[in-house]
Amino acid sequence: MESSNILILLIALFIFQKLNNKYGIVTFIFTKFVNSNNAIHKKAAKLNAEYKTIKLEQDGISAQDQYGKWTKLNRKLDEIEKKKKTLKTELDAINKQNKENVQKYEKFLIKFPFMGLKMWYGKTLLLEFESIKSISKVLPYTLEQMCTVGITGLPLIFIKQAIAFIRNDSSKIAAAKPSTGVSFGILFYCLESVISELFTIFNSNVFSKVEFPHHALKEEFEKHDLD
Amino acid sequence: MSDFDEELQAEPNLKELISSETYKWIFVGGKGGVGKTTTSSSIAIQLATKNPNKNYLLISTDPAHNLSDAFGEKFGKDAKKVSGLNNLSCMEIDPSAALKDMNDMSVAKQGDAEKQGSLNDLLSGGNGGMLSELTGSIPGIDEALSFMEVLKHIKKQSVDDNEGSEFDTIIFDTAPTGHTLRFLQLPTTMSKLLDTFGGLTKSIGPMMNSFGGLGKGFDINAVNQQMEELKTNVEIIRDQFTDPSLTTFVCVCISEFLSLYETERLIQELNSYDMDVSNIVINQLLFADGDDECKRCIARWKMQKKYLGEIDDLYEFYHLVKMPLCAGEVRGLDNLKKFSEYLYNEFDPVTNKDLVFSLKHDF
Repeated sequence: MESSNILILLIALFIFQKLNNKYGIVTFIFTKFVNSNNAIHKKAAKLNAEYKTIKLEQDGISAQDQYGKWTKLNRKLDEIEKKKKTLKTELDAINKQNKENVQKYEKFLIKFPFMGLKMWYGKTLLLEFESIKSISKVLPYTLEQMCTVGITGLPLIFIKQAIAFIRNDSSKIAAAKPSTGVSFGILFYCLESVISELFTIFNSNVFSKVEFPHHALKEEFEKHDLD
Repeated sequence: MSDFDEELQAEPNLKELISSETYKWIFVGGKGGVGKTTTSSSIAIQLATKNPNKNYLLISTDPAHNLSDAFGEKFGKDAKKVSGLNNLSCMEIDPSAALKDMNDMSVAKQGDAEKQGSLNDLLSGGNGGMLSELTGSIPGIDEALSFMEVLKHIKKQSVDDNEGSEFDTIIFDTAPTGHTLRFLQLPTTMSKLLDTFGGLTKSIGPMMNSFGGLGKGFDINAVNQQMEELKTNVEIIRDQFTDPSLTTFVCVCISEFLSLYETERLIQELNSYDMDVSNIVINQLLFADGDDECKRCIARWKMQKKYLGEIDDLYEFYHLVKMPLCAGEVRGLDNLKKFSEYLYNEFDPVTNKDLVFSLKHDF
């Protein structure tokens, strides 16, 4: 696959994963389209509507003036409550099952493809330094490679070199030694780190809850009280 | 009304209950001040007079006991025969006395040597001990003790199966609704509790045994055995309480909104416990029709009639027993006997008008 296609696919999956984590897109789609036909949900909705109608009727009459009617309505409400309780137990079981299904779908639709692509194409270089003279002397070779392909890509380089060495194939040894640059793996690692850092900064500074200054209010109160 | 409907219509008296051969437990309950004690005493008297070969026990589980006042003689924590009725006994459960007994029993079991311990002194010594002081004030202790009384009788029944137990039927004069519902929930609650405890002792029992127990005289196997026995008895009670041929609940109310509201709540709750309720006694009715000159009575009777109509409509398949408000207090065996007659044969305000003014006041 072309590097550009891999990049587009990985970025698409990356964005979808982030949005899904934030807004629960898969859960929404699943509950909207798969679960909307669920008979129990429909039954619960019908019971809720019925309960509201009866409650409205009951609230409209005086229990003391029309005790019989009021009690009969109360019995109906109790009956509905009982049915709702049974339905809730069934619904809880369904919701638990749905949650498991959603988690499964999320894994197969987003998590596993993203991880698979990252693992398979993770060592593919996205940017390559043509001249490595300026940096080659700064870091040892192993560390330089780790910055290029990531820590998980390192053993593979050495395994490939070892196999080529055993076979005594010098051309393959040279080929197994990658050039320096930025791989997909490193790019997405950095991207995730930066985004998570940004989220943390944003959440802790923009959406952080400001405590009500009780002491200030108390002082104000005491001041007025003294006056 | 068709013949079929008439057949379905329940009689407005407690004939079916009083003539029944099967009931072991009869509960009488309702809101405070509606005449529970009068009704339960009347039912007990009717049962005892109509079935002279059987023995009955009337237990008051209400913390504010009224049985002694109703019969005009003193009853205590032990069953005592009612003077003038050989087959009816009464008892009032007294939480503090029962706890003191339990405490004394446990002290006697532990022996004198252990009694010297400072903790033991603190718990059992002094004026009744801190333990009994504390447990006496635990909410729901009255219900728990009433339940223990039931357990005692269940035990007796299982031991004396061949000879038959001491009492054929036990009538409960219960406390106001909330207490009673708590009491009736006890078998289920205890059953769950014992299940949990059983699981716990099974998992930690071997470990405790390997440590040599918690101290002298503590044997986890013996505790387990006792728990198993208790669980069996609790399950027997639960089964008996939910068997409509063995247990029934008589609701007592007056023809007023709050009392009816509470009765409805009680009936719904009892139904949710699978308990049989088929009798409702409506007390303190004025029957001020015709030539009654009391304006207040006429106005109040009008209100009562309105609610009576609602009761007839709401509980059409129940035995609805309508009892009059008497001029004097229904106290003493003679008065109770007179009054209770109308639980068996329905009260007719025209022909039985004498009852209202005929109660004696020299008890």
